[in-house]
Amino acid sequence: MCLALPAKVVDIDAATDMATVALGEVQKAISLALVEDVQVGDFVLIHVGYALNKISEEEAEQTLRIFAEAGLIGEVAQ
Amino acid sequence: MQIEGQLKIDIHAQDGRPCRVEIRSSRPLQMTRIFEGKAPEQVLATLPRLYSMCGMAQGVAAIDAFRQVLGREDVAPAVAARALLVMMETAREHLWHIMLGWPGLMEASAEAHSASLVQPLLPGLRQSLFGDGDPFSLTAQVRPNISGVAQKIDSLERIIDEQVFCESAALWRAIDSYAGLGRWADEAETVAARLIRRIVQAGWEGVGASDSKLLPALSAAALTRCLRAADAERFVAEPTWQGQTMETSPLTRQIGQPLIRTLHGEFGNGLLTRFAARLVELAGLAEAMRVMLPRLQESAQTPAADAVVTTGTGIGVVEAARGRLAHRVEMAGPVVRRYQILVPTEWNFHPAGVVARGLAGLPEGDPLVRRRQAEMLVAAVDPCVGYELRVH
Repeated sequence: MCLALPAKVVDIDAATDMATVALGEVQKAISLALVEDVQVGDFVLIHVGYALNKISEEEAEQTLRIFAEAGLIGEVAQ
Repeated sequence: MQIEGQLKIDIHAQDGRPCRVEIRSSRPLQMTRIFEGKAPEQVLATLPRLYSMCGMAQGVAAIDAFRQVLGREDVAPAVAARALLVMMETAREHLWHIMLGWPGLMEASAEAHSASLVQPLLPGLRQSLFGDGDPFSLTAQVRPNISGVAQKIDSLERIIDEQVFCESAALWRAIDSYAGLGRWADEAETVAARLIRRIVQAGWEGVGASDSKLLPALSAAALTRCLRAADAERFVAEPTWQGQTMETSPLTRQIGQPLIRTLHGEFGNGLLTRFAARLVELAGLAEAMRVMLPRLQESAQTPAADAVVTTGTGIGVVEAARGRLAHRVEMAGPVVRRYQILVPTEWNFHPAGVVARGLAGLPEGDPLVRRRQAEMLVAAVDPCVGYELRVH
């Protein structure tokens, strides 16, 4: 079913091309190897440990609203 | 952060032999309920956003289902354009799988740079086919920039040739024997060749083989019967066909190819046949995409051959990277009453399916070796969600 989650980049380690992303209160380390020019504060779609692509804040909010509607997350988180 | 769900796979052993395999899925099956009460265009706009790994395949299955239910025939250029998007997505998924997943099976680091090369091609192809339009709108117009499309296919072919085969994929496809595959694996220095070499050197060609059946070509009517039955929710979660679990994967699609037929005859559906099937599929994708190009320029009035008009319900079936994907919709007036999605991972990772049977049949011996073999089998079948594998 391969759902891809939007998450906000809160920290980047340029040396390892890794980032810390946040979805609500949960934080996770992901690889930025597949996307270019990601900055702290950007939103990315993540799947099994990788950022797949950058998306706008508006797109992220819309997608999170859908997950909330489906009961997969409690509320729209950023 | 397991909103997307996860597979938990446990291999229990007794006296050094696997005796029982458990596969449990936490994939969120209730997701499709959010489409109930929505208009078709709303669902079509939402789907690719949710399923961005296989968004093109999801979009095609959805639009086919809605066109059927609404009685709107599609036109040949649009069908061809969407098929090209699915093929490019399949190529991207296979390349990511090989470059990011296969090195870990050999205690090596992911080849992220190689994987990133394919990233711009799908958005670029979409732009060349539909401009700024939405490919999955019921009113989508194909505006093909043929040279732009051809250029994306050429770029894909170059990446596949250089990063996977170390030679022309067209030449590689001429390999039709175990010995020929072994010779290539010995000579080429790519992650794909190294993995094939590793399997051959370890003598693991037939590891993970089982007598599991390949999902046959089901008619839309047959699939519809399963999806409208009283136990349809269970079918979506743990599908079977005629009482048997089935596999749907690149192997299912490539079983007729000479190399895969040969390997299957010798090693069954074990590791070597599976990994080779993905390579055979990848090797043929650029050429298969070129074959579609003339259809982009057919008259927009040409009805697609597979257009079927029904009322009330519709079904769309598409071969996604990991196997066959089906969407079924029931309408109540202008809005969706029920929406169902049947994904390949549920066939392949059924608790009694091909992976469970392959894992249960792993050879006895060192649990560390068994873990490595199990990781290879799970990766070879490739679930669309993350997984946790425990070898007891």
